[in-house]
Amino acid sequence: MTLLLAFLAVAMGSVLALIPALMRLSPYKALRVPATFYVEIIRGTPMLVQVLLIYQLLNIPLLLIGGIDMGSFVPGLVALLINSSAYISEIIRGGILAVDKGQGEAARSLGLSESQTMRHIILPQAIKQIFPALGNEFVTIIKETSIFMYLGIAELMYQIGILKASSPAVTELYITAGILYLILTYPLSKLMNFIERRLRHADAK
Amino acid sequence: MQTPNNPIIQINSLVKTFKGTLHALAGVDLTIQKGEVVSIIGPSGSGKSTLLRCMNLMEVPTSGVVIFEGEELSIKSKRINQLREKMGMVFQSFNLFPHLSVKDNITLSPKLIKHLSDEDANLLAQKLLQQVGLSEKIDAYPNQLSGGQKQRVAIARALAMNPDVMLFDEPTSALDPEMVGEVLQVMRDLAKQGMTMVIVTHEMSFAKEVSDRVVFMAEGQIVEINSPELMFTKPKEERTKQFLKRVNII
Repeated sequence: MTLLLAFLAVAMGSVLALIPALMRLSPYKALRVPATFYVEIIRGTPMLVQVLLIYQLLNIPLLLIGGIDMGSFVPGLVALLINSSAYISEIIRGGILAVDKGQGEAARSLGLSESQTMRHIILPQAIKQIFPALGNEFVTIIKETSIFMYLGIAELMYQIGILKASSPAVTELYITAGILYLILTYPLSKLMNFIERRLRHADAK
Repeated sequence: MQTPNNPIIQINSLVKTFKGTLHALAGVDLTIQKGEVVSIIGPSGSGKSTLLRCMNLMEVPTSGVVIFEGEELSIKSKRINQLREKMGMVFQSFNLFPHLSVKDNITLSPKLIKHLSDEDANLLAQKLLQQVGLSEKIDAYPNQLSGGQKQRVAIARALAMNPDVMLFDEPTSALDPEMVGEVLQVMRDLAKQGMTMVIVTHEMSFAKEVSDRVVFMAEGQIVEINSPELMFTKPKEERTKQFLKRVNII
């Protein structure tokens, strides 16, 4: 559950994040300003507030699909998506800015349009640059799913909450939860490291 | 010095001001004739690279006009991409695409823009790599090449769009001395084939050897335009003399 939420949030969030990222890099103020506004609001308010707000706005009745309660899964996913897209858009923007200016110039001098240059030259290089940061965001989001206990999503911390009622060993329960999160995130970090090395091997400058 | 009047690039009263600086270009007029090789020399900061970069609007002039093959360039027009195809550019820092193989570096824009088939693109890459003497590197990646090889691939890449003029922005300045020769040789061959070339360079003996005309710039202005023989032996202007003396030519 936690993993599914985090994975969907990062995967879909990365695609969504391209929109504010490109808007903020645009030469047009009309595009830059709303994107900046969006990113700053999402980054400047607590995740918990966003989650509760979206839970209220998307009042979906209890509906079980494949054993998952959509009433809490959908708002949870939407909230995570919005949150991660804002953070990831900043990562992408940084990645695009980190690509050497000469790359774009070389592409434009060959007659490529602005969008062709972005797609074929800038983005492929930016993605490699941002991979470590993206992995980081993935791990962060996995941990942030703990917020969803407030929504009643069957999720690690929530289950600990249930157990707590029947067990006096509260500290041990929290430590167990922490270890379970670590078991989830550690292999991911390792996997990201591995993919990163592979990418770097393919081409160093 | 009698060149037929068949201009390919015309530059009229070009001014370029960078934020917070003096004039990088303070009103420059220059016409490049079809088939001629023009070298631009001058001290660093004289505006010679800026002038070259204005020719395909890599740098957008503050004011003034650039006319290429009879058409005024405008950064706002969609035509700019089609016109840039016809002006190959070679950069000081190569700017090869590190995530693409040598072959893909060369064939990217012919495939994207001219919709060349894979087969035709392969043939084109082979032909161009042969021309720059790097046939065996077709599947290599840029990070596996030496500086001189990178620059030769960059020249092949610029030639892939079949340009009418080649713009060289200090093509050997970032190279180790032993690699300068191989790049100059490729450029020399290109000049012999009749390619129109504009070369910003610090290689004075090369400029003297291949150029039809040499332009000397200082402080954002053209100080002197002369034949290579006269420029390097009997320059007209005092500032030219001083510069050439400093670089040990006279």
